[in-house]
Amino acid sequence: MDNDELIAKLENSDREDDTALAAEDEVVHKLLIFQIDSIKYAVYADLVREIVINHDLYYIPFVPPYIAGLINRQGQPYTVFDLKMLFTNERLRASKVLIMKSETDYIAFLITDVAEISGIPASSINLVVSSETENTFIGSFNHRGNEIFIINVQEIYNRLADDLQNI
Amino acid sequence: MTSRTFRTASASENVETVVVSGDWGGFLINRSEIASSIYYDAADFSRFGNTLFHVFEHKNENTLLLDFDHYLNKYFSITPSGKSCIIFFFNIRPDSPLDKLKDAFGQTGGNGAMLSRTAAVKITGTAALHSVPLREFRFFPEPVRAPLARQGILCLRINGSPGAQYLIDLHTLMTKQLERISTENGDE
Repeated sequence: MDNDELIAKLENSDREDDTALAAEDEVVHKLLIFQIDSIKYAVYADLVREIVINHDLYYIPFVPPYIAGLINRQGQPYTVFDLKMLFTNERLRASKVLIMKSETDYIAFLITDVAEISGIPASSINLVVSSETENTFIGSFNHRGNEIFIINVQEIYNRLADDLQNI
Repeated sequence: MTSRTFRTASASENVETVVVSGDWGGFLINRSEIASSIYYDAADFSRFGNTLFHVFEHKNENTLLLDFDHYLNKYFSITPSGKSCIIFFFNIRPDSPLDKLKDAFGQTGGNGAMLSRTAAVKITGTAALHSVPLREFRFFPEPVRAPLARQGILCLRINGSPGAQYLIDLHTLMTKQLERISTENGDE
């Protein structure tokens, strides 16, 4: 190997390192993937406080049908959303609840099961072009052959606030 | 103290609370809201039809009465049953919209009856007075809290045991239901 060849190889090596470093620098979102029946959805994992199983659910009157009820978690009541009812107008029969992390909005989602927590590169997430009326999902990504939608938690909360205005 | 002043504070203060329970669960009423109460045989009210409001004769006066059993059936899908029922009487506040609403009901739904300034709520079940620590009351989470409060369901009691009990404001609950009837043309 002469010097020219050596320099060329070094430069190539540098470029490969730069590419590798750039890949390492890419933002990876930690997403919690869960199931509603057999359909998978995701939320940003840092929005989830905990997962609880077999909690008593208390009925709340005067609320939209996608509110499954109330759970008491360590003395704090949480409003539990039935996302299946919200998306398909059918009630979900399930006993697991995702408690969402917020200092002010005590909300939770009724789910069938947690599938996994996975790191998804930002470049793999296809952002949903939102309309004025439909911002339920932030985006979607392909995971092991499945298209998984990421739920816009704040929008779900806002929808309830809107729906309750005339009650 | 009225039920409007409840806070979810950790104060050691207690609230005299009537716990009404039956085969359907339990509700709470602030004792200070109740003027008096009386037990009846549930069969005495079998003539009541399937409507929310009735004119009830008590101490030679016509009193507007809300059938809470009907309310439970309508909004909670609960059908209370039992041999005894209790009627709670409360005084209508002078500046309350309930005052005008009950007069309007007396003229229409009450066949022209002049109604007293006392209103009543009938519940099938039994009642017991409890001194409940204020810290056991919790507001509903937002954004559910305000709409429920407008319906007269103020907060809930969580005391470590399974279940939750809802604290109701009889005055607000009855006002809201009369408003509904007046806007729905009497369609219950």
